[in-house]
Amino acid sequence: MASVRAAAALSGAIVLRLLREGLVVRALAWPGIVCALAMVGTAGGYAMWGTSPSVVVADPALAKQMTEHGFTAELSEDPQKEIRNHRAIRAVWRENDRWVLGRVWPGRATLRLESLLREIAGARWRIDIPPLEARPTDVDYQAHLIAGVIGLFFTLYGVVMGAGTVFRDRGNGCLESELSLPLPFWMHGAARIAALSVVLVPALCTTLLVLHGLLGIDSLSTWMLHDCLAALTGGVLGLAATSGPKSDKGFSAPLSRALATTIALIGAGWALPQLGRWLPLSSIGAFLAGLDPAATAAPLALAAAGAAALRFGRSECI
Amino acid sequence: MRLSRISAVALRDLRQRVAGKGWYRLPALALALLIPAGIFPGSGPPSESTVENRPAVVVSGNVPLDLRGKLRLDDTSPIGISGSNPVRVRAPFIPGELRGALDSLPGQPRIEVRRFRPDIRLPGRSILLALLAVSLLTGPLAEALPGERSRKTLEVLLSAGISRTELIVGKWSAWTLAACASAFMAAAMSAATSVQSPSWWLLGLPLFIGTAVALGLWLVRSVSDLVGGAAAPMRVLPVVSVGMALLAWIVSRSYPTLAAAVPLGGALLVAGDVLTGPAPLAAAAAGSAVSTSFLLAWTARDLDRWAGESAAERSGGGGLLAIAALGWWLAVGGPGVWAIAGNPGVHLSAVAATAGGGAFLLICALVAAAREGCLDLGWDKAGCGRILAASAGSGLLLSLLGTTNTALLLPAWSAPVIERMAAAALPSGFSLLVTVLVVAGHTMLFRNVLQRRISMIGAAAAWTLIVFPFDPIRGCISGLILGGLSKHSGTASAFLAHLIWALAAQSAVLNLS
Repeated sequence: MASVRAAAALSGAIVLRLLREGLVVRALAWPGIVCALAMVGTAGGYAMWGTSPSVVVADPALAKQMTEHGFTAELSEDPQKEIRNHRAIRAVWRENDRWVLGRVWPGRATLRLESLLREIAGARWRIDIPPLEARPTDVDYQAHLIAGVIGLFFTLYGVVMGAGTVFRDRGNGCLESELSLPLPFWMHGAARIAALSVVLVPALCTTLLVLHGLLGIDSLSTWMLHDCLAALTGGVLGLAATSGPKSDKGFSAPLSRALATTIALIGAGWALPQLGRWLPLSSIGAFLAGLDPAATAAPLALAAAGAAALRFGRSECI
Repeated sequence: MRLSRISAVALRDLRQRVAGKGWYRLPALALALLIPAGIFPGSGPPSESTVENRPAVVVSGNVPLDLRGKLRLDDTSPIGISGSNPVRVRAPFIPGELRGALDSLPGQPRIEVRRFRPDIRLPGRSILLALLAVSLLTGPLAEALPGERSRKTLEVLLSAGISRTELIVGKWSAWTLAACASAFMAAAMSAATSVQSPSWWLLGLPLFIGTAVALGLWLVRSVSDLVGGAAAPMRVLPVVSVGMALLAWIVSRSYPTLAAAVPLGGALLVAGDVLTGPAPLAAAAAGSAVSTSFLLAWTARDLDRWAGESAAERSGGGGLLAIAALGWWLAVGGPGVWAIAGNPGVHLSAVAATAGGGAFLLICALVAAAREGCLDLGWDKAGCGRILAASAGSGLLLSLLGTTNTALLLPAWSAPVIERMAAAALPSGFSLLVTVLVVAGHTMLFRNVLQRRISMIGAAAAWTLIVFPFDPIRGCISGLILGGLSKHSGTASAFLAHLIWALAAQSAVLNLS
C-alpha cells in the first residue's frame, strides 16, 4: 500500500512538473483546435461560396433554363475556349450532331448539370440523382483518417515528452533526487510512464470526442484505445531513447532517433497492415490502412511499457 | 556583422551536434529519411478510372433489351435502371463502363461528357524533401537557444566579443546549411532517378529552409528548456508552412509573382515546383530575405529577455480564455455549420460534442490550476450545512431565471449553431454524466481559475461571452450569482448550485415533453 501511495505521489509530482512546462495547454490542445478549426472553416467556406454551381453556355435560352434550375449560367460565344483557357470549370456547347458537356471536376454539381442537359435535349437515356445521403460514405474515410492523424500527433508528443522529462530532470538534478528515494528501482520508470498517460490520455480522448462531435468517427472506442496505446508507446520510446547504459545523455540525437523509429513503425504498419495490426504503434498504421488492430497490440504495448520501466530503473539506479 | 564571428558560431553549433563517437547519427538519420523520400516513385494523382469509373457495371431494375449482355443484374446495386424510351438511370454517379453501354443505345441527340485538365500545378516530390529537411531540425533548433539557455552557456556567449545579431545569424546559417545539404543530396538522388527533373525548384529549397529555420529560432527565442524548445517548432512550423503555402496558392490564382513573395508559403511553392520561372523565384527570394531578416532581428533583440514569468503573469487570463472559447465554440457550435453548408440531416452526436466541449474546458482549467498550484475546491467541512443550503438556494433561484433570446436579431441561417450552443450552455437534455462533466468544466474554469485571475466580474463577463452569448442577461446574472457563491462558500458550492440549476432545467424539460 505504501508503495502504491509512493508511486502515485511520484507520478503526481512528475505530472505537475510536466504541466508547468507549458506543454499541455499549448501542445496538446493544438491538434484538436487546428483540426476542428479546419473542418468548421471548410464547412463555413462551402456555406458561403460553394452552393451555386457555375456553367458557361452560348445559347441564351439554355442559359435561362439552367439558371431556373439553380445554376449560375454565363454567356460566351465560345464556351469551349473558356474551359480550355481555364476561365470556366463547366461549359456546354453544340458540336456537329451532339451536345458536349465540358468539365474540369466530376462531382454532384456536374452530374446535376448532365441530368438537366439530358432532360432539355431529350436524350435517349436520362439521369435521376438520388437525394444526398445524410452521411456520404467518403466521410467515413475522412473521419477515419483524421482519427489516425490525431493519434500520430499525440504519439509524436508522447515521444517528445518521454524524452524531455528524463533529459530535463537529469539536467536540473530532479532525477538524482528521485533516485535517492527509498523506492523499488522499477518504480521510477513506471511513475514516469504513468505520468505521461495521465497527461496524454485525457487530452487525446477529449480531442477525439470533439472531432467525433464534428464529423462522426466510426469505431470511436477502438480509435481511442489504439491512439492512447500508440501515444503511450511513443512516450515509452522517448523514455527509452534518453535512458539506458549506452545513452549519450544528449537530447536532440536521442529525440530524433525516437521520432524516426516511431514514424518508421507507424509507416511500416500502414505499408504492411497484415503484420502491423499485431504490434503497438504499427497497429494505428494498419488501422489507417483499413485493417482493425489485433488483440495483441494492447498487451504488447503494456509489456513494452513494463520493459522500459525496468530498463530505466536498472540503468539509472546504478 | 563580421563573417569570421558568424562562421565561428556556426562551426561551434555544428561541432556540438556532430561530434564524438556518435557523430554520424544525425546526418545518417537525415539521409535515411530524405533519400527514400527522394527516390521512391509515387503513385501519382488519381487517374480518371479511379475517380469516376468505380466498380464494374452491376445494376438493378429492368435492363432494356439493347443493353442485355452489357450490364449485369444485381438487386443490391445502388444503380437502378428503368424504362425503355427514355431509359432512366438512377445513380449517385455514372461509371465509365455504364456510360459506354448507355451511349451505345440507338437514337438522337447524343451528349458527350468531355474532361478538361484543371489549371492546377500539383507540387512535385521536392515539397516533401523541403518539409522533411525542416522537420529534422526539431532537435537542433531546441538545442540552439533553449539548450544553451538551460545549460547557462548562452550567458557566456552573450558576454563574448560578439554581437547578438552575429550570434543569431551564425546559428541560423549553421542549421540552414545543414538542412540544405541534406535536402540537396536527396534532390540530386531524386533527379538522378528521374523522379523529378531539376528545375527552378532547386533554388527554392534554400529559400524555404532558410525562412523556416529563422521562424524556428524565433519560436524558441524565449523558451528556457529543451522540451518546450522541441515542442514549439514541431507544433507550429508544419501548420504555419502549410497555411502560408495555401495562402500563397490562393494568391497565385490571380498574381503568381506576388504569391511567390508570401513569406514561407511562396518559397515553399517555388521549392515544390508549383511556381516556376525567374520572376516567382526573384519574388520568393525577396520575400524570404525580408522575412528572414525581420525574424532574425526580432530573435536577436529578445535573446536576453526570456520568459521568467508564468503564462498567467504574462497574459492574465487572455491566452487561457482564447483557447477555452475556441475549444467550446468549435466543439458545441461547430457541428451546426454542416447544416448551414447544406447538409442538415448529417447524423452527429450532440452528446459527444457537448461532452467534448465540457471535457475540454475542464482540462484547460485543471491544467491552469495545476500550473498555478491552486487546485483548492474550498470545501469547508465545518460549514458543510451552510454551504449545502447556499448551493441549493442559489441553484433554485437560478432556475427561476427566464431566457432572453437575442438570437432573434441574428440572421436565420445561423440558427443551427445557436440552437446547439443554447442547448449546451445549460446542459439539460443529456445524461447525468455529461451534465456533471459540463458543469464541472464551467465551474473549474470560470469560478475557480479565471475568477482568481481576472476577478469575479471579469469571469462573469467571460462566462456570458463564451457560454451564453445569445442569452446575455441570464448569463450575466447567473455568472455573478455563481461567482459570488464561489467567492464566499468555495468552488464546490458553486458547482453544486450550478448542478442543481441544470437538473432543475432538465426536470422542466422532461415535464414539458
